[in-house]
Amino acid sequence: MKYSEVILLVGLAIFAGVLLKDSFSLSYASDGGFGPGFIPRNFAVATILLAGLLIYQAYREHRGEHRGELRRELRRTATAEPAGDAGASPALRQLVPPAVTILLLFGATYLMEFGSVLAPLGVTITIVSAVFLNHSWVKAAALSVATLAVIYAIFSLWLNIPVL
Amino acid sequence: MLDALNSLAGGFADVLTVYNVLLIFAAGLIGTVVGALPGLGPSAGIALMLPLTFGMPHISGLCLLTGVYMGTMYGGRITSILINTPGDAPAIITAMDGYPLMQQGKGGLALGISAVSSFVGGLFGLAVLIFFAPVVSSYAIYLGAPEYFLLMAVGLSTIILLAGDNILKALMATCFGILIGTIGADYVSGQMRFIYTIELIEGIDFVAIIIGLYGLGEVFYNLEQRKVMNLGKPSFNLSEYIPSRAALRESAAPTLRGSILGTVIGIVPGAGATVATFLDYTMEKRLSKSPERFGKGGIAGLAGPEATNNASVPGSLIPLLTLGIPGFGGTAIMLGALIMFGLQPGPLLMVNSGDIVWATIAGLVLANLFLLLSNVLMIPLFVNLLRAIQGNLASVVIALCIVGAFSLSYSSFNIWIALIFGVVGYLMKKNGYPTGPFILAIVLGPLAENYFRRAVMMGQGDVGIFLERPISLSLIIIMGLILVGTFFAKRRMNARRAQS
Repeated sequence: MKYSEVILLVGLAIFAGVLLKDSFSLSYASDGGFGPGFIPRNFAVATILLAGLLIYQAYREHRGEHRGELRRELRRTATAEPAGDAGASPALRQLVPPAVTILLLFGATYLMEFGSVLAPLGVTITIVSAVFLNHSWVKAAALSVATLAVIYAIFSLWLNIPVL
Repeated sequence: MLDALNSLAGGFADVLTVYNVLLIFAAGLIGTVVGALPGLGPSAGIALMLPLTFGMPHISGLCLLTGVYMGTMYGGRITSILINTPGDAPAIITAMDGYPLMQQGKGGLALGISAVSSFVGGLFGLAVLIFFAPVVSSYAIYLGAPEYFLLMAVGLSTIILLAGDNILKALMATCFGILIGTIGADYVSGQMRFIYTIELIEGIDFVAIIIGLYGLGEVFYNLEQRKVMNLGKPSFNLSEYIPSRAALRESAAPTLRGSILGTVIGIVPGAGATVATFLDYTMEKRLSKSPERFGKGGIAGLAGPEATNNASVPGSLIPLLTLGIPGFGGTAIMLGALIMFGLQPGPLLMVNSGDIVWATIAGLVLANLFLLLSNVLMIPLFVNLLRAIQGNLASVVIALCIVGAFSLSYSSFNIWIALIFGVVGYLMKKNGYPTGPFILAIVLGPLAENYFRRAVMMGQGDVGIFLERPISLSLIIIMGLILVGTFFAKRRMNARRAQS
């Protein structure tokens, strides 16, 4: 089963659940029409049901794939085929760059509360450039400074948006 | 008709001074740059330029503002095509086929096609504005809440076409979008819904959502896939950037259809360019002989919505100038500007201040022409700029998205929103959830809910009101045709796939 899909669906179901609970404080119907709780309540229920259905669908697909894998494994054993590359799945390793970038951005956004937007952003994009885009640290820092300088010129100097 | 042409000639006579021509050219360029920046659309562009018009003559001030408005519509498509980050909401659809073309190394072609289609759309909208403004706008006032609701419902019914292979996933995305749209003040009852923090009173900013969903989501996904763009080395070979005759021929019919649809939807207050582009994309996919090319770099999927987008600008000016009704944010600020200049938008505007209105329209015609020239000439610059930074694109997009989200309200709140939707967009893309229905639901959901509840109140609780009025009945039939037609088309396509 794709865990990322389960995370997405469970997240959406929780979000819908919170809205469903709070929608009970809003009127469902009013004189001659529907109240502000009508749409959120119905769609929150629909979202939760769909999340359940999609998780079940993902589980069934996974079971089907798993069976296929099992059959292939049995056939390979029977015909004494080599197992091929039995190394660790790269799926987990693939997740590292986006996960670390997301965490860095959440951290940087938290630090932005203390005043500067560009400073934490600069540190984040330097790390992303150096670690995941394979630039040297010096080149990554130089590219980040150049990027932020252009952004500063456009947003702050020209458009007067206080991004510093 | 001759009267309109005479008035337009008078408008040109007023506007054709060196100062005004330079001003319109600069306004178009500024609008293009502002529109290209994530987070800044027509409303922001006009608002930013408004203080500059305080000391200007009325005609110059209005030319500056309308030029910026038109320029933002051209600019929104640039980052959509180049980095999959729409500058504003109407440019979302542009990314669907423009960005795949860019990934295929045809970014110049995509920018060229979109510039030409934008020009044709804008020109068509202007022609309607010039010749039919008073006539067309007089019909718009006959639309009531039931018709508006059904117009939104027709838009929502197109979700089935944007759904892809798994309809359940599309429904999930739609429900999520509608729930997001319920956050904030309820326009019918005035009650607050799900206000967990003060910033949510007006709901979640739509632009922050698209910055996260498309910009950051794409970066996270590419980082996971370790996708590196290979766009080649910077080159100034013009043939690479000018669309071929075959490409222009392929885009001709979608451009024309998009121009008509954009103008019509632009006239309807509240519908706006975003709805128009979604409707046009769906219509083109439905009409296309090769719908499988849509979303993979189809020229029709790029040209049609681009023409729609720019045709909706003059379209939205029709109810503003003739009835005083602003269709959406950008025209609402324009309304403020007209009042600031001492003009009174409404039926008497053309009578009392016709010279200023016609000069503004003439300014728009000039702006559209300048924008075509400047945008075509700037294509090599944009494409080569992207080629120069392609090795560091992820960092540049992250920086632009974060600063763009910050600029929406000068606070970190919208950055949090963009980040959250960046993660949602990444997970949706990774698991094959279509983002089109989600965005459409966010745009249309609140409007549809608002009009639906008002219509039911008009009918005193009786939903039969939707069947009693001829326009609403026609819209129900159109919606039914879209749903049934799409269902059978999909079945036919699946059967063909199974056979092959």
